[in-house]
Amino acid sequence: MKRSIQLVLVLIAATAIAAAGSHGVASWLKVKTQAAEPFTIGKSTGNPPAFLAASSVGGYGIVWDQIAGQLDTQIKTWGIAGGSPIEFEQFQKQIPEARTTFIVISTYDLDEARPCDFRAAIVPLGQAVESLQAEHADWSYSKQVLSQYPMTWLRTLFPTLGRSRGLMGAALINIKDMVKRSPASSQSMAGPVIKFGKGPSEDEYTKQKLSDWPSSQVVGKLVAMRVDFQGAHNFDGAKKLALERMLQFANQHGRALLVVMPISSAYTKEFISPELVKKFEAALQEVEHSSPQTDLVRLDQVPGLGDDQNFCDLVHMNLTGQKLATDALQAQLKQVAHQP
Amino acid sequence: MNFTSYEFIVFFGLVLLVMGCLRNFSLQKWFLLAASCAFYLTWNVPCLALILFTAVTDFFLARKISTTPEPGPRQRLLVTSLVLNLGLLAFFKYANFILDNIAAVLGLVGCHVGPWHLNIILPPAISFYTFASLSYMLDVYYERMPACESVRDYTLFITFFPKLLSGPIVRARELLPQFQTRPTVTTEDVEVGLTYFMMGAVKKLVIADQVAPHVNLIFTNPGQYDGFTLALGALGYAIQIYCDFSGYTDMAIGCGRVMGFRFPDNFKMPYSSGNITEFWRRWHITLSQWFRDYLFLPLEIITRNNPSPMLRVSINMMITMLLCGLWHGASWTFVIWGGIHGAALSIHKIWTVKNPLAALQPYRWFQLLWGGFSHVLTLGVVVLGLVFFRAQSITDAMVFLKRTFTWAHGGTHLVSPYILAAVAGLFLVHVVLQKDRNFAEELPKMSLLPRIIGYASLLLLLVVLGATDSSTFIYFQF
Repeated sequence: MKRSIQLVLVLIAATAIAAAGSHGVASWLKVKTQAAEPFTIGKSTGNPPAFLAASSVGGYGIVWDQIAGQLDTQIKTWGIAGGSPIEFEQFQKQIPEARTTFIVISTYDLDEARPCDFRAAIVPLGQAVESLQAEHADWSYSKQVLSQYPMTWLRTLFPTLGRSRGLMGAALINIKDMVKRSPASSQSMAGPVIKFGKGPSEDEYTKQKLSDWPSSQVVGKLVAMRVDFQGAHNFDGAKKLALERMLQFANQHGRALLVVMPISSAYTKEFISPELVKKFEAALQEVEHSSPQTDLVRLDQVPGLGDDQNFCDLVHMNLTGQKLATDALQAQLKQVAHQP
Repeated sequence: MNFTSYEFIVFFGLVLLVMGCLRNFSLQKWFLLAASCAFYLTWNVPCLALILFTAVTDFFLARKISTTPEPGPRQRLLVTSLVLNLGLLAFFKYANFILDNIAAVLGLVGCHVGPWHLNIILPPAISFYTFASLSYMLDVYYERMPACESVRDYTLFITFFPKLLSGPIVRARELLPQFQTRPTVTTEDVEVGLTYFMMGAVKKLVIADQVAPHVNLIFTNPGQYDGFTLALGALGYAIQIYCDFSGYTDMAIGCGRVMGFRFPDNFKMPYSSGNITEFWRRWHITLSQWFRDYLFLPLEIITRNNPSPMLRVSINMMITMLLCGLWHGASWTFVIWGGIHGAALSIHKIWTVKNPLAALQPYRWFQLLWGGFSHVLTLGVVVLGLVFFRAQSITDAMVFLKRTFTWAHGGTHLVSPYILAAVAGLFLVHVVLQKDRNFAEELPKMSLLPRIIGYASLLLLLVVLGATDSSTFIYFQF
């Protein structure tokens, strides 16, 4: 056989084996490959549904069943790991009948340094390019956004591509389970799972308190987060623009509630400097200015809610925090309902 | 443009495509020169003028040397080149370091002067291309090679993009002859090149970039961690720098090979070395050979009349290694790193001559025991040196070492599974594999099945464990 043909065959066979291996690993470690999973929260009441745009931060922070009950409506949403307004904007238009829109953000969600892993799978390439042009993005940021597209295409062949950190964490948990350690201990390590509409989350993970973590565990998580950041922290980019568009759309079709969630003090201390807080506030002011009808719910300003004892990890609330935040949101909703 | 970036894949693909379309070798070389300049531009725009100035100046000086028969003028031309090359290197790399130290010395004698700081940018790759150019000038001066006749070829030699940023430091007499005739690229060359590239990518993305976040954290504030964590951090850095740098040079060799050009190997499993001398024959080989040929051996010749050969060799080794340390960066931590290696090399030299345990050498039990001990000792010296190499200041390095050696219990206890896995993996590779084998060259010569398994394994490692947000290669800063 000719050497060049031999090489091509070798490379094809190696790629096929590696692809099979990658699918095998993804299946063993239950890697989430679905970009967005639809959820319906609450019972059908005949009222127009509400739309919820929230990442796991909002999903863990609020018991949305209670909110649906209070509003006497169903809430429709999509579970998107690490989702931000850029991704949720794509789904908002799928339920134009929604009269109430909840958009949940935080200093974690709105941070441009933390792109959603599924952005390229949800936002069409053309729209991403337009968005980059609109915000006059620099080359570094544009490259970061655009390089997700070839990776998304390659993930058809290699679903594990670009997910090494999560895979290693999952592998560690699986190995610990195999050597018969307490499943509860590994469950508490596993990380959050988005499951809207299932009532208060009562898995081992949400029973933890960040304030009880040993310092080494906090440091380890902070390192992992730092690795995931791409570029500088910034709240004045594509996510903010998408948020403005979403609020304008929501206000045209009904009312919009912008819920700002707190983030643990450990996270804030490490990553969100006082200057960044000012930038976040400035971004919020601009958003409010562009959609003045929006009802702003500042759960991040509820005293004590950002305390580490209300969090099960650096950004997600535990059961205690979830209850406090839900109560606070319900109280705010009552106030909003009484406003003219 | 990093070798591990999408831009580079596109860039290199375009280079190969155009090279394939061009039938004329002269045009290919012009194109490669343009591509190399474009590659350099992605790092720094104004500094392109500097690298081109160095290349063109040295080209004409070398031509002049080769046509000048009288020793005096020849020497003056060489000195001009040395002053120019080393002067530029000193200005761009060491000016602020020199000024800081002058201010510190003046402060010691009671003359306090304000902090002087020149706003100078460090041209990328200046240490590497300056050394490449210096070796050419010295080789032409000592008539070890003829002067290059084409300014295009010489400029291409200096700027050739695969080896431009971090070596290997290819000598002119190794690369310039390859620019004389059109290289024949066989399918085996392509396969060897791909294998080198994939192995380099695995080292960089799967190992170096995965341990980097933990290592960086530990070295940023060593006083915060306990002894165990610091020891793990030092081992982690040893792995990180090896996989980062050898990964880069593997990819550079691979890129060159795919185009038909051969570069020398730069690493040969250095952590399997049984002594520090062997370590330097396996670690950054092209740099250690450069220092040996252009600094250590000339020093030996100059000081050959010294009555104590052992003292002479020790002093020359120390000078060489101190300057080698300084070559890496303008900081006393690098000088100390060089000093540790200089001292270790000198002690090893003395040991080999006056070995008090020589009588035990024939015994098998002694060979095993001594072999194990010397490996551990060598690794210990290397890791000790790397603490200074990586630390942000001498104070940080001292804190790091004090807490490690006293096995400090206070502080954060951080067990990084990434570092542990990398240490275990690399240890296993060094124990299992024969240290002189070169798998990038061997794998393409094997039968179909081992090749398929080999490439599938490399690819699987990359797509499962490879970091996507690759950091800049460590040696780019030098």
